[in-house]
Amino acid sequence: MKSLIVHINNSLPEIARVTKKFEIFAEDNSLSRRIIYDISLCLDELITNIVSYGFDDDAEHIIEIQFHLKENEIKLVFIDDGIEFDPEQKEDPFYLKHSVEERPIGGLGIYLVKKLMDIIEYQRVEDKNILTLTKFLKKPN
Amino acid sequence: MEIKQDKHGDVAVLNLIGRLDANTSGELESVLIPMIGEGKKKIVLDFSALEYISSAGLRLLLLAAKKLRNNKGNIILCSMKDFIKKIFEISGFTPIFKIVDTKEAALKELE
Repeated sequence: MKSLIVHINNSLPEIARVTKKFEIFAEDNSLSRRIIYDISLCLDELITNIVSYGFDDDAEHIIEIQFHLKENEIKLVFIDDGIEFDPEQKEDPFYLKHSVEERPIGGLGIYLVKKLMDIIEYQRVEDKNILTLTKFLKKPN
Repeated sequence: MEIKQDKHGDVAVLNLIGRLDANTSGELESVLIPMIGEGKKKIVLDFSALEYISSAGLRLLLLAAKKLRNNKGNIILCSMKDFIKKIFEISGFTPIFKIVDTKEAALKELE
């Protein structure tokens, strides 16, 4: 198993830094462009969510992001000390088939993550959110 | 992101280059929304050089579509890469937006 662990602080520009580190890790390990795209989008959506809604103070917080690559899967682990948030409990948008006029704007970020990743597991441990996402890699034929 | 503007008769074509995400959607918003406000009714967004879209980008596109619908205008997207099309499909955006393969096809639709 190959791993990468990145620590960022709770600010939006950090998304670009962790994405760049992940891309180098992914290219070193020959991940496909499609997988890199899907994971980058999940990083973007989840970190945006944690930074924007996860903290109710003005202090600096550290968010840990782990990447664990095995032969057939990549696992991402997000650890933060923010407000308890279980994405699995967030209901999917009900309006996906509504017309332009009826559709409310927004609310798609977490839904995209749930659809792009194969397994999502959430734990609250000692005032920390631990979110583990697994994406299966296609076996080469 | 970079936005190149072009005119074909009464159709405005915006060529989006780079990433459309939380950091950059403001740049497109500042071009697209005033354009609709000024009464532009035919808009093509050329996605051929768009490398990435996040929910922040989708949010802006839906906002633009709503405003155009109120004006009885029309927006067409063209030359979308497969991985971006997948995001549109998951989000339920494919029935909302007319998506065609080429810029020429988009211009023909709006003739």
